[in-house]
Amino acid sequence: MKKSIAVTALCLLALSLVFSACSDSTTSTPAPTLYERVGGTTMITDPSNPSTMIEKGRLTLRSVVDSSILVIAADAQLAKYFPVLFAELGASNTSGLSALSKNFTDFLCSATGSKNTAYSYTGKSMKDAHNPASNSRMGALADSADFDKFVGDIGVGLAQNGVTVSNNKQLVDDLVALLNTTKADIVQR
Amino acid sequence: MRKTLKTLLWSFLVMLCLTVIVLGTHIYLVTRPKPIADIVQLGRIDFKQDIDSLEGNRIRSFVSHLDGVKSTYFNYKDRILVYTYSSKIQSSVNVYNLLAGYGNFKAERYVVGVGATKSGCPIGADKQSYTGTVSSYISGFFK
Repeated sequence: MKKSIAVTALCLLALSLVFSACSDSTTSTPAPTLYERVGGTTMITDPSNPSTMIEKGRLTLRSVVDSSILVIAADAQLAKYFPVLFAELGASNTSGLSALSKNFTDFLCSATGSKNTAYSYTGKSMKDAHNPASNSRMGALADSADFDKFVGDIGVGLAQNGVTVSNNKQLVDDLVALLNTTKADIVQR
Repeated sequence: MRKTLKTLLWSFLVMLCLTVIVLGTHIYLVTRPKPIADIVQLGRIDFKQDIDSLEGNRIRSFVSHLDGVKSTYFNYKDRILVYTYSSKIQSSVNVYNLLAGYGNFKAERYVVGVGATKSGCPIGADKQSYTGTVSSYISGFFK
């Protein structure tokens, strides 16, 4: 009799531990990263290259980048930073457009929490990249007004991909906040 | 003696033929026209007249249906049309000429000056980096 009471007590203790463990794990689940919120690591067919697969998060960010590049390129206030993109093909057959799309997408993947090393940003730091002294391709120091315009144009690029303040304010706010974390490094005059 | 001479002559002829074939193949491989790389490029047309959204949509529709054009965007405020296109299929000159033939627009094809190409968004530029310099050197070496 004593033995069965002890076994029952042990079972109840074990059960309570299991439930408390489950309960703890539920409350301590980390919030999804921005990368997960825009699609995460789910593999899907890359629409621009159907023979390859791509993470849904990266595809979303790449689509926003590609749309935003067009918006920025058509922005008279910001076009001064992108003349090389309009240049005719040079000897190396590159205009910089593909590189910009890839690097900017890599940067956003890394910044939003992608763990995929293939998507890591390996370029210069934002400060060095936007300083003519350390990057001769940077024609001039960016000012605050141009940076704000840039962020606004990214917002237009987001809207072209179906994400607006009215349908997903939180996501727009979080992405804008993320871009603004680079402002101190990019705006240098 | 005569047989040896004949053998030598045949050997010489075979070697000559082989040399001509090898040389010819080499010259062809080196000098044949290289295929044009398919690069996605950006084109821009600046309008010198007001364009409303109706007209802008008509222009965008026309340009986006041209062969090789991948995407378009019209900034009505700045009256600027930008588009991406495959350099293998299309050219910015041809897009501009076709658009000029489509409507009597006051517009100019945006052409970048040589000096302006030295500056640009740094996040897309890696030619100043060590690897960029090395790869440019190697590409140039094989041209």
